[in-house]
Amino acid sequence: MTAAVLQIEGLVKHFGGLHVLDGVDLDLAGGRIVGLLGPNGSGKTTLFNVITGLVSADAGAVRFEGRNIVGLPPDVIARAGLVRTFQLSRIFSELTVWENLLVPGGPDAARVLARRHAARLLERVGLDVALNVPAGSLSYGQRKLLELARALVPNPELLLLDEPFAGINPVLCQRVADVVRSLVAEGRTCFVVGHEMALMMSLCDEVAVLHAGHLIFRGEPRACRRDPAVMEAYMGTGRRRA
Amino acid sequence: MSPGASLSRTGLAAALTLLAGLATVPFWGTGYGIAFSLLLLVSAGLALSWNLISGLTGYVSFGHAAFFGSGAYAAALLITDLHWHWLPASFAGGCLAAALALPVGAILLRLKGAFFAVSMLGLAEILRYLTGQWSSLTGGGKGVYLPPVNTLTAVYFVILGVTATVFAVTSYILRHPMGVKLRAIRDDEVAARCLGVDTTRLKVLAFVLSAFFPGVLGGLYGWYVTYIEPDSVFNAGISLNMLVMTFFGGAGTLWGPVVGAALLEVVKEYLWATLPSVYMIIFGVLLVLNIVVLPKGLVVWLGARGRPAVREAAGL
Repeated sequence: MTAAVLQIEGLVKHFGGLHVLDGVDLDLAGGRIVGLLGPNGSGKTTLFNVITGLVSADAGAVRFEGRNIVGLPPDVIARAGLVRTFQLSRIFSELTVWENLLVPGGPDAARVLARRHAARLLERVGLDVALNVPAGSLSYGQRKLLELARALVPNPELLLLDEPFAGINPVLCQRVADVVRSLVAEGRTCFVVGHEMALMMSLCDEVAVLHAGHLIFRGEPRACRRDPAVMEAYMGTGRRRA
Repeated sequence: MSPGASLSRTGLAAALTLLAGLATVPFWGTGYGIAFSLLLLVSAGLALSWNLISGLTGYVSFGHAAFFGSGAYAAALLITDLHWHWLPASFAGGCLAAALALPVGAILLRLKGAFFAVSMLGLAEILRYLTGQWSSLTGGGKGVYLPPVNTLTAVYFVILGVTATVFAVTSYILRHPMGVKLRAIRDDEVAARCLGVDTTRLKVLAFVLSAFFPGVLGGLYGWYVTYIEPDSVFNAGISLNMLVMTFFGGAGTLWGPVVGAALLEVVKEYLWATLPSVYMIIFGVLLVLNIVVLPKGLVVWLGARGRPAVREAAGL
């Protein structure tokens, strides 16, 4: 295991009286796939939003490659090498597929000015469409793939994938999972939110489980299935006993 | 390079032909014809400038008259008080408008949607009020009288050059990744920021550019009409014209503002001459029809339906 790429220390986020993140501590080692699990409303997307600067933290620190990035604007964080995708894909539907790939900033982004490089990126994620097709005409699954390809343009060190498997067919799910594995094989780190348990368990090197703003589990996927706290969070066993 | 958004060979040929045709107007046109063409070029230049920020990024400004008026006043005062030549004075007017746009953009471009639109309207109104009240510098409500123009042809060519320059700048930006990033801001600014796009810097840059040219055109316009007052150059109708012409032709496109300005100015002039009592009603109905039937503008509609050559010329 290599040194931690991302260190989250005592992260707190409240929305009024709602404690969405309540002192979350988590380290992500480099070159691994870490899954983030948890029931709906457990704070997964908020955690991604705080890490990427879209939402400010009330307390705590997020260190990316040793630098505290809390309070930095999202574009600065992205240019530092931390790029994300969204739960509901946010492609630029008024632009063409190629233009979508031209948007990302950073020193490595200029490579997609070459059609050949842009086409290779699409091929890598398994998106078989012409570069000049309007992105708004793509199907939901294709949009997910385009968003993934676009996230690779700035050559990120750490990729935050928010539900990359949601709403796409099993074949595409496997394709996305293969892309994630290949990214990690290149030395990148992937932090993945997902609800597809079988796929997440086979894909991730380790998983973290959030529940009501608290990290209730961190460890190997197999151990997660047997953890009482995780079972209670998902199945409500505690409430049944009561 | 952004596919489809560049000025194609056909488009370049069309632009050069149009430019050459407009350059001949002073040699054969009547006084009325030259004056009408001059005002049409001012309108096209203003619409193209407005398009740089509002058409490309979706930050709709209701107050670009602030820059037109600032440029007009700066140039007029440089000419009358400091005896500058009208040409450098007009460019100084553009520089002043751009200098004003820098802090204004850095602050107001944090606002979104209607908040930005209305705050820009407020800026133009504040400047109109200040100019009207600051009599010792601006002449207040009495305005500023400029020497009579005996250089109409020269003014015409300079305005033609300025409008052609905004057109060329727009073409360059659309062809450059900067144009793609600006259009991405219009589509989803949050997603663009999360991909490393410094959206604030890009928006302010586009805003400053979109203020510079109206400033220059304001200076030239003031010199041409020989008299300016706060109500004439900070008028909300000037901002509204930029918006209407751009949307009529096609916001965010290269040719849209040009086509919109040309068609609307011609139609307005024709209706005014033939149906003076009801021309504004008919004009209003035409605008409503345009928004309902062609919400993306005439150029986009033509591009979608036209032959490949039309699409190519339109940069679609």
